[in-house]
Amino acid sequence: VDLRWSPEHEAFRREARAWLAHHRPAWAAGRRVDGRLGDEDDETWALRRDWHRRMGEAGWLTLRWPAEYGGRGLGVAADVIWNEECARLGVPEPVNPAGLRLLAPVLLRFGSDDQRRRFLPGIATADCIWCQGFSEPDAGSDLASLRTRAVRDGGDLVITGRKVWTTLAERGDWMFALVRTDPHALRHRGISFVLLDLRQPGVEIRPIRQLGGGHGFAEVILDGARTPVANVVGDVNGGWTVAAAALEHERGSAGLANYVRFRRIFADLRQIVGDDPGAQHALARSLVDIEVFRANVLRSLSAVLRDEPPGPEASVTKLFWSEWYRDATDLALEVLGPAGRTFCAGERDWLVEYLDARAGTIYAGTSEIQRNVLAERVLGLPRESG
Amino acid sequence: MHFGLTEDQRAMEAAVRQFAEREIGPAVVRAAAESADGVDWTAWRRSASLGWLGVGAPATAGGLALAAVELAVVARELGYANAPLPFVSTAAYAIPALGALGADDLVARVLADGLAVAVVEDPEWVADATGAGAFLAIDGGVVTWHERDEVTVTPRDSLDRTRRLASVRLGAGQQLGPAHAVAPARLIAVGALSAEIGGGLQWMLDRTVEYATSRVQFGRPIGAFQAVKHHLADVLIRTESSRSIAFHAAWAAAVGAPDAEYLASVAKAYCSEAALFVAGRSLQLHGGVGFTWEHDLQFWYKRALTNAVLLGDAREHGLRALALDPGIAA
Repeated sequence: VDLRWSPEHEAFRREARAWLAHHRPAWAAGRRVDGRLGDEDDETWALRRDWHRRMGEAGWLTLRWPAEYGGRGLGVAADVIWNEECARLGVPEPVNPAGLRLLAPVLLRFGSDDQRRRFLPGIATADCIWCQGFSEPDAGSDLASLRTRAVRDGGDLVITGRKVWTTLAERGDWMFALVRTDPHALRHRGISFVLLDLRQPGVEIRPIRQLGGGHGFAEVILDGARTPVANVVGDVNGGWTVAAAALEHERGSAGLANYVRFRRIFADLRQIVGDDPGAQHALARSLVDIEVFRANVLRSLSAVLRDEPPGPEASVTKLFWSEWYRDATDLALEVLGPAGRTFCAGERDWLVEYLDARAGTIYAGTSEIQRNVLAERVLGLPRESG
Repeated sequence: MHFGLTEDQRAMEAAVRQFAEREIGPAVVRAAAESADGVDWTAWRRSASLGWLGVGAPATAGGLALAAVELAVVARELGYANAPLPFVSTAAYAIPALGALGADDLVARVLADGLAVAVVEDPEWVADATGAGAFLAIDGGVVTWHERDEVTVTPRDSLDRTRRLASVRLGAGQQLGPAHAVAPARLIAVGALSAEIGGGLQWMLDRTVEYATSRVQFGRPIGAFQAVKHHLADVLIRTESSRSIAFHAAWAAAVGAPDAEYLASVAKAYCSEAALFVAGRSLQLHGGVGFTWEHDLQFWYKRALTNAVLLGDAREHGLRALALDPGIAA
């Protein structure tokens, strides 16, 4: 056990820190910049998009891409350190996360050279905003039951179906989606990973207003939307493998940044709890759990850096952070009383955070699905289903 | 950045595991529970002769001069076996404390004689006192050494029959030095005890998974039901996390990190609460059979409940962590 970074990594950290200190956007001071994308006003969106472009043009968002596509060819540690430094300074996050974190790794691993040259640059600069099209109204936790169809028509695929919980759909330019290309194949086998332009007649965006009043999500109705067959990534009917690999790529890179964010939330939580004697033990548990989260993240990261297979601790992370955030915001609303039942402008609106935290245990695999995954894949208990 | 164990540490882990599997099976634990003092002296002498008592002792006193991480490695494996041995109190607390006080002669004697040493913080509640050959008392700012025949031990009717509690009445003893000198030793002990808890949780998880996979009701192994799966997933999270934080705290103590005391409290707070959680869920998932004297689960269950309150419970260490909170880790 030795949890210190190497001199090379520390040198990289200094480089990142120096660039951020010089370029951090002044407008972000006093604003919440780690909230859900899609809820912000047009002015903030423009500022955030410009900040993304500046980071992208300086190469910070493409650290792991190979040089021939404009990257620096670095390892996962570079992403970890960059993300952590961004969180420490509290700078706004990139506006194209689906493109950066999911699509880019997929294109680099499965994409054709033509696909890479066409789509990678726009991801880095945020000239092309990407949306993820996985979930459907009848395919949530059971994603492999998705029914959006893609039928071949000459050189095109014609796509019909509905995608839902799509973040940034109203601001999005393109979508990567899982669609059924072989209706006769079993579940996972007949699915393809396709790229399609959202700005076309066969696409209708219906905003979904959320519990908290925001508009960050939408339903995307695909009614004869077209995309060339050349926009299938990986093999036709091989999309399930492609999507699974996309999720794997992100392993370990955001954990320490999340630790920093949680610590900042905790500092504010401690302030509102104050000396309230009834809340000290809950506050202590919140602090203890953050540090345990960090220990798990470091352990997981250590395995990633050594190319070791993911240990059980990697699967634990999603449950741990989403439930930590839920419990922390529970405590905040408990001590705030009526003030916690009203929205307030400012850097930390606990009611907004409380509601966001309710989503955290649902999206990206519900807590119930995560527990099934741990029980079945890590502990080897009998499978519930397919 | 390396969270894993070194090759030497892994070799030590394997050696202790092999020893525990061979010499401390559940039958040995059961026999010790029914013995006069709750300790298996054959295994204790063997572990002394294999050098593990001296893992944290200075080389000048015949020890291995290793530190907190190695002690945590040994403690975890012994926790997995629910070893009826006073390892943490002797090897991870008393010996590092004696080393810190420069009492090399006493360390050498403990190692040579395989002396079991109980550490007295509160004389009313002393763990491992029933089998102790000597006592190290940390009380009132001074550390004192007490031979067995100078101490009156009154055993209490303890839940855990392999780690019994007792009240002790001490004589004047031999003054060794100021209590603040042994504070780093206490961090090592807290880390090792957290690691021991983690080992015990791992055993309970493993056995409960086995049970859930083999016990059939309604025509299916009960582990196929989500209500059972979700309990076990929560047990897994606590078990893995206990391992992570115990080793993190041990490493911080080993390198003398500025946040070592904070992390020791974080680790003990977390592991203590996890102990109660995992013990409770394991008992529930074993159904009626887990509630019997015949079933081995009782030993790990009782050890978990006991370890959770030794060297400070979750509430005490949680508040301590709040008081010591150094802010965002570098």
